Amino acid sequence: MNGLNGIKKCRLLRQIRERLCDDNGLFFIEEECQKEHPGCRGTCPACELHLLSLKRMLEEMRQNGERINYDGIKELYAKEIEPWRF
Amino acid sequence: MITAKIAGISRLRMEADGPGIRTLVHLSRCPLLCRYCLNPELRSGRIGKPFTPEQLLKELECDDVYFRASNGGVTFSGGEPACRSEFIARFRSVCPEHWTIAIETSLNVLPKHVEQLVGCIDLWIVDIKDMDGGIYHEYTGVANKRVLENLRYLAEHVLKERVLVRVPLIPWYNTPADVQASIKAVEEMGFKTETFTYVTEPEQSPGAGKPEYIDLLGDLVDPKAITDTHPEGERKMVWKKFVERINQAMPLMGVIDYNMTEGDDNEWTEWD
Repeated sequence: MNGLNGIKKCRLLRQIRERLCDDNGLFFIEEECQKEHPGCRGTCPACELHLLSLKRMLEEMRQNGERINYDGIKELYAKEIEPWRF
Repeated sequence: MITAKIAGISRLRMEADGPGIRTLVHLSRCPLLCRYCLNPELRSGRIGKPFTPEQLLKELECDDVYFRASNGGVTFSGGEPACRSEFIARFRSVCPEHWTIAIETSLNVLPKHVEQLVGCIDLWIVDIKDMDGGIYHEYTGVANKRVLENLRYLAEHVLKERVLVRVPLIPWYNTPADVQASIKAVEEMGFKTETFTYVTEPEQSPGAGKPEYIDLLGDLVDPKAITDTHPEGERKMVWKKFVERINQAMPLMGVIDYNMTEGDDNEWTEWD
């Protein structure tokens, strides 16, 4: 099972990006996605652009020798998603 | 240069093929001829775009943030990804350490591939089909000797927590009692198991009649089971029959433009 439906996945990914920005003092520029299309796979070009922009900001931090804090997004994911078990 | 043909990349899969957010990478080629195969077009290894491990990394690294958040990573699927052990091992060595690498495999590959992968794979998801050799052969067209050997190798060399053995109910091929027998055998080796039922199309249902290619493959002898101790004439005959039947069966299984040949060009032997 590929767990979440598109809209929920989209929101979770957005939350991750937002939390990462918050934890690292980066400016979060995204607006809430208004799409409710049932066929949304959570990976529309708008989300991808935001991811790309975040990636650039993180790369800049790395180049400046700044430490990136990922602890918050790990905590967020663990809280939101039931882990894969076997 | 190490390359592998990649037939598909599916990003942002959640808790589906291993822990966390994952990217599923389909590697082309498979030695099995499973009746209910979901990706029969990947059998021949002709479909897909060649990637080096470094090119694949470049393609996948956009999701690093999500992998970090979720302890996720990459799951290699197929086809039969274990045949590409060198590619996967190289990918492991170039990808970030925090990415988890999983593999969905039948384990029906030469032991050298499994030996190479043992140090690279965080999670093995093994589709065992059925532990009974007869059922296995009937369903896949090949013997399960290597599967059992490789499973024993994993039992000795990999933490049991890193292996999940999937034991399917295969409509028309095994029964719930067979599944239970397989589960028992696998669990006695110390592995965890998961059961599920293979998805079949309406035309594959028992009521639809036995597909023609089942007759073609049913009594087929796997040439790999014929050793050097057999007379050369016999070996040649087994190979000839195998190649003829596979070429007849492939179009009936929906695989077009397929022509297996004997010798160096043979895709079954190339993996050896």
